[in-house]
Amino acid sequence: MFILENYRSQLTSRASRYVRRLLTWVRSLHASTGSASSSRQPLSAATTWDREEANRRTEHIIDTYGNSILRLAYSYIHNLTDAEDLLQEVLIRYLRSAPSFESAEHEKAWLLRVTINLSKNKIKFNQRRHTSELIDADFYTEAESDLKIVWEAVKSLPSAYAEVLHLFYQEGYPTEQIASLLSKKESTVRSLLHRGRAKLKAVLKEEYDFAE
Amino acid sequence: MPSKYNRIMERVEVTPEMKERLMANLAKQPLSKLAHSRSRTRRWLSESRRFLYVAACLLILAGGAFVAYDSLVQDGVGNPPIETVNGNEEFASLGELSAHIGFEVKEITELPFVPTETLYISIAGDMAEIRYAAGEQALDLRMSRGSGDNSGDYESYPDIAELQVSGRNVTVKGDADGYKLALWEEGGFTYSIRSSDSISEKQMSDIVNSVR
Repeated sequence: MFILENYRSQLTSRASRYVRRLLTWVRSLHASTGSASSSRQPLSAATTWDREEANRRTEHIIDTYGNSILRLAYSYIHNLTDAEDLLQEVLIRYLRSAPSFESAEHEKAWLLRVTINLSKNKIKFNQRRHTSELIDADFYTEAESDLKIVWEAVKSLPSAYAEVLHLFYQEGYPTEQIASLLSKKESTVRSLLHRGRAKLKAVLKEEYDFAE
Repeated sequence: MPSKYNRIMERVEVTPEMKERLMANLAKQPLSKLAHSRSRTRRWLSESRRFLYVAACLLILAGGAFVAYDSLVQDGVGNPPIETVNGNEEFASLGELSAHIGFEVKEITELPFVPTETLYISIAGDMAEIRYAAGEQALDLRMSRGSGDNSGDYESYPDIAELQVSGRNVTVKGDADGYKLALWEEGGFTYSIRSSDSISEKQMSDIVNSVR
């Protein structure tokens, strides 16, 4: 039985090796025929960036979407230093992938999706959220204790609620687009939004000012 | 008037110093590391569709031969779970996972809990897994081409039952506390749902029924 299992496992690895070779062969076959079939040349035609072009694109992303990316990352990881690192990682992903976009809206959605994914990964791999008492303390004056109370309440929400609230109230996305960004059903997003508001209302009472 | 949440977020912004840091850090990245490897892969996939069809046919033939071989060496104990190899890759959304894996991945639309985390994973490039988690509670949906048990669950369950769920012949496995595993095949694909907690037959049926 052991011999049979061993043989079977060898066969599996041999089969996957053959499949890899087959794909390599098909790839080389296609490369030799050229890519004349492609009528549109995407943004990523070159294999590497020219330094000047890389800087230009980085600057464009920072100027146009930097705040949105940074704020979305901050809404997940609650730490400005980590959010900045994450923004840098998003920029690297952008330059590496160099996706072609149909519109600015599409471009922003791609960047926010990458931000969401990286933020969740960061939370998962850190296994805990860094608190940001020192950084937060700089944000609020004594007269702004109400803001601190609101932020503490939002921070305490599970990220499923907080992400929907952020995309709705900060980015101004309709529930349909939030559903698309988070790969959730629109009804689920509406429900999360409703329940998130209810949780905040219960905690914040008179400080609650999220428009219904 | 912006809400308090917007006022909080206005303080999280890309300052000129931060922008300078980001630009400087990215300038340190070797251009070779910013090569568009992934984008090139995607472009290649879209342009090579014809060749991929041929490769897919060959793969199906190879898969068929393997399945035939596999059925010949069954030991009569029951279908062993399909083995997976390392090479998992996580994606930001269901759409990206589907695009990567080459078929439309289905999802659970009615969960028994509100997930705080949803992960979209490609296992060895040919099996899709969606993991819904909320604290310790988790549900894994796996979908792959072909047949057999793809759950990766090697547990020997004492209670096994066959259910009819909206035309699907579903095998559920569990113990006295309830069911943990559901397996079925449909339209050339094999599916499995694995629950971290034991759930009732009705709950499992509802979950299977919501897969679309």
